[in-house]
Amino acid sequence: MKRSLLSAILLTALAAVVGCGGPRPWNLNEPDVHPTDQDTLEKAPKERDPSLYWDAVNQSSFYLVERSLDLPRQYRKLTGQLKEAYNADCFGEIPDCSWFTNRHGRSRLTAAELTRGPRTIGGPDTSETWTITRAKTEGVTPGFFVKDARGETFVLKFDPIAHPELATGAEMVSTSIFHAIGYNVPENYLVIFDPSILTIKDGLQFKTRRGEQEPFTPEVLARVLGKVARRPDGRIRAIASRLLPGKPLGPFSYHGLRKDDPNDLIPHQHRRELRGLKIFAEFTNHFDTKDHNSLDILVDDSTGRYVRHYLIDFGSTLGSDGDEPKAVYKGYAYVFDLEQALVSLGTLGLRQWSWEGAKPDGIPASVGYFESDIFDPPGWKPLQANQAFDDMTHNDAFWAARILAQFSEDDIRACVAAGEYSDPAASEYLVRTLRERQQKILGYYYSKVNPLDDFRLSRTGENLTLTFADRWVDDGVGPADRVTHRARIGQGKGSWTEWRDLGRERKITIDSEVLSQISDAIKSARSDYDQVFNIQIESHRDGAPPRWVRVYFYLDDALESPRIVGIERET
Amino acid sequence: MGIALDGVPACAETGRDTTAVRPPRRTDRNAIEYVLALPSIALKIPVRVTATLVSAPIIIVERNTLLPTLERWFSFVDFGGLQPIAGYGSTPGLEGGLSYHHRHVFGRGIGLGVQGSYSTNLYRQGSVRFGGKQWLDSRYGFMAEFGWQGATRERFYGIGASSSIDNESNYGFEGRFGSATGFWHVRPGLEATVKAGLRRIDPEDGRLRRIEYQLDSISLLYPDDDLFGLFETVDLYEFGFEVRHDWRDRPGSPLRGGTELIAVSYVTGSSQDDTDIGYWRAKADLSHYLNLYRGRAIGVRTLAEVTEPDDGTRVPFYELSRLGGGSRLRGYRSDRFTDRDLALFTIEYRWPLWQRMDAFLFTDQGRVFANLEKDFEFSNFRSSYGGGLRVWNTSGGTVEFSIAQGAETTRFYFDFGAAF
Repeated sequence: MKRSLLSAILLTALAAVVGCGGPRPWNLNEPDVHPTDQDTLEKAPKERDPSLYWDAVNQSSFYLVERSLDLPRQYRKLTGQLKEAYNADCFGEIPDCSWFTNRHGRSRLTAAELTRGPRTIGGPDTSETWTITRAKTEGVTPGFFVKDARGETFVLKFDPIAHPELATGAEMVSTSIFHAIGYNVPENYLVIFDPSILTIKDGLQFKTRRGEQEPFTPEVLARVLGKVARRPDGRIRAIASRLLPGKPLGPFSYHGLRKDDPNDLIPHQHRRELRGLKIFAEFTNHFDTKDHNSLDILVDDSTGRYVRHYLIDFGSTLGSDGDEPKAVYKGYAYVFDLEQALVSLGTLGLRQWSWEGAKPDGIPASVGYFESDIFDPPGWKPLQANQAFDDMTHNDAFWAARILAQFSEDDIRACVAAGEYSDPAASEYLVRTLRERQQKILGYYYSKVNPLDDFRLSRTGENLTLTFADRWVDDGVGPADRVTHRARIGQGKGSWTEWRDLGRERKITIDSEVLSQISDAIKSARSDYDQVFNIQIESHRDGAPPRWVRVYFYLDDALESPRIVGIERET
Repeated sequence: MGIALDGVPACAETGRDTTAVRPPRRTDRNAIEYVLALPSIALKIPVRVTATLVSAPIIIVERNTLLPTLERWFSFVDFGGLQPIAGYGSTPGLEGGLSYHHRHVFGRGIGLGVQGSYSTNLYRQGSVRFGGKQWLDSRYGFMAEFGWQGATRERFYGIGASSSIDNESNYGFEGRFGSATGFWHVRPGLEATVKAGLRRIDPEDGRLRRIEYQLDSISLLYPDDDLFGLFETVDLYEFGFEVRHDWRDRPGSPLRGGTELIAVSYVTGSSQDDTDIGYWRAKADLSHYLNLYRGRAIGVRTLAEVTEPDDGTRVPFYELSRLGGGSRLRGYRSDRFTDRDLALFTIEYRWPLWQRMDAFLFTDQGRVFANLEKDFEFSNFRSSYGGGLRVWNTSGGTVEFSIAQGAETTRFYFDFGAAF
């Protein structure tokens, strides 16, 4: 009896702390448009140099075990109440910051802007010689640091000899996509150059696989270039990635804080843009989202001295795995998937995974393996477990899905154009496949919340009118005739009215009778907080459980300036 | 997208964070949550400790380029190199040694290898190998090998299918050997081998060795008549021919195809007391693999070995066919059964756990016979069953862990190289 009582108390306490409560879903403060994480640093953070191999081992094994032993998190997950992102505002948005800049999701970019991506200077000058200043030893493909006649330094990355355009195409397309979404990405340029313009800096040495320093001679250069794809005319197609301005500080982690950066205020796994990155990674099959494909840069310019966070190296996106086409399981399982291995073991192999038996038939060679038929958004997995992705909530996913929905077919085509594929079928295949993956993503994640959006509240005569958009319908996920809405008005968790059927109409009017009730409430209000009311809209979609969204609004004493102050979605 | 309100200030129009006053640094948990998470933290301590212990060597190797340095010291990539030999087995004990291999001594494909090792239970061996399976990249090869071997505690359980594990005994021997082998690569997957060799074997009763035995000496348990070859030095001259056909689709974890090995040899010689030795041995080892679907496969194996002595000659007991161990009847001790002939059947179900990692379940059925042709019947076969995990590569390298249950014991195996 005592034990039961103790258990009940503990469970109640656990539920009270980890499962319920939380901050108000609305806020009355005025906005502060200045990014809060770009204050000038007095002391530069130190460079991080985490172990690549240990990271892989840790994320594929120890982290998974630790995650399973995290009882409060397991409780939250079981009850569907994972912590919401710390940096999302009451509208579910995130401010521009050193991690993310709202671009296409907030105001649509033109086709030219989408194709151009982050590129600002037109690439290296191919009319003069390039001097190799350093041999790139990281990564699976060979590369060099070259300086052009203008003094700009670029990292050259190539296609594998047997797969022309594979890695360079993927890098260019994904650079444009991730830039348009809002992430900080390098200026990657597609260059086609005659290798005779390459010269070697005097005394240049490179590190061999065994860690020895050896002279970088023309013979070494020829040997390296012998392993990369060439065009029929002997020229080489490559990515020229402009060195990021500032001091490199090593990769960021998808978990925790950079302790020596006072601007780093939010644990990374609780940043909406890092959680939502999973959606964009699903879209582009950017499975290689390990820490080492990110880079922190200490910016020190007129905007201040702070750390800016970049995503780098998109050579393993779409159908490319950098040095070869993507293996069929990549994007569908971890590089070592303990869970799938254990299930296979336990079921004696009777459990069949979706990717098994998949073949890249009919896919243009320069694309690699990239498909949309067996792609399943919730089943998508990166190279290794990622804390931010694991903590993604339906609200995070909805935030990302809304941005993704802004990419029309023409927008996607504009991004794919950056890849400059010589085979038009490759471009068309990518556009079609990306579009199909986008639709699958929207279909799944829109079903996890009530995807009403674009709320507008206005005074119309004696009434207040709330209008809204329905992303599920407007983004082509489902037909309008399969949706009905109903709404009610209330304050806090209480309701003042009965459910009012709206049918397919996306408008609700608060008439004078209810306004009168609101007015009475305002008269007896003790603070501004008592002048916040809400409209709860529940949508019934074909075959899906109904979900609601609450729109919180503030009314002043004269009922003249309605202001939406927050949105809450049932998840 | 986002929020746009009629007649409302910039806040809502921009959708900016209305809470974006610089907040305090956030942590993952608040104080109460930390208290509630204490059991989890306690559970995670051993995981963290293990992780720290594992991370240290990984980081050391990565940071200090330890592996490339070792490779530089011990290996000469272009022509072979010096390699350590290390291992452990319940019979030999802890083993250590060195091997040196030079791939191209007199030309491409003509190599020279020298190796030697020593174990805590006084097992030791040394050998010199010269030649190559494919000289000068041709279809022909030649290999000559000379060496010496010493063993101290070889198991023996008696002759015949009804021998008992309770009668376990041991013996030792020293052997010197030399052989010359010719290879003919008829076509990819088909190889013929001819071999001529000589061996001098000098057996010893198990109790004569200076290591501490837990087993009875062979001469205490078995009559001298069963132990021909134990008390005298034996010289053996062997001539053999072997054909091997390998048509597996991927040697590390075959889904289709199989291997067929047919070997015939004749051994002649004499013992120190002038007893003639002369016998034929024929062996057929057939494996076949059938892909059920998507990497799930059935493998079957049949092994038969027949020893036929010439009239008036005898076969030393340690030259008889033996059954038991990792590649011949798992679930039983090594060399558990001894007789002139043997038959072994295996069926194995394999399925992929991950890229290049399989699990498997198997059953082995095997028996020794005094005369396979006359005595064969399906009764009295010894069975074992078990399963395991196998990590493999496409060139045929495998690391296998398995557990097998026989009627007498449960055996664990950790092998480089698959059972079949």
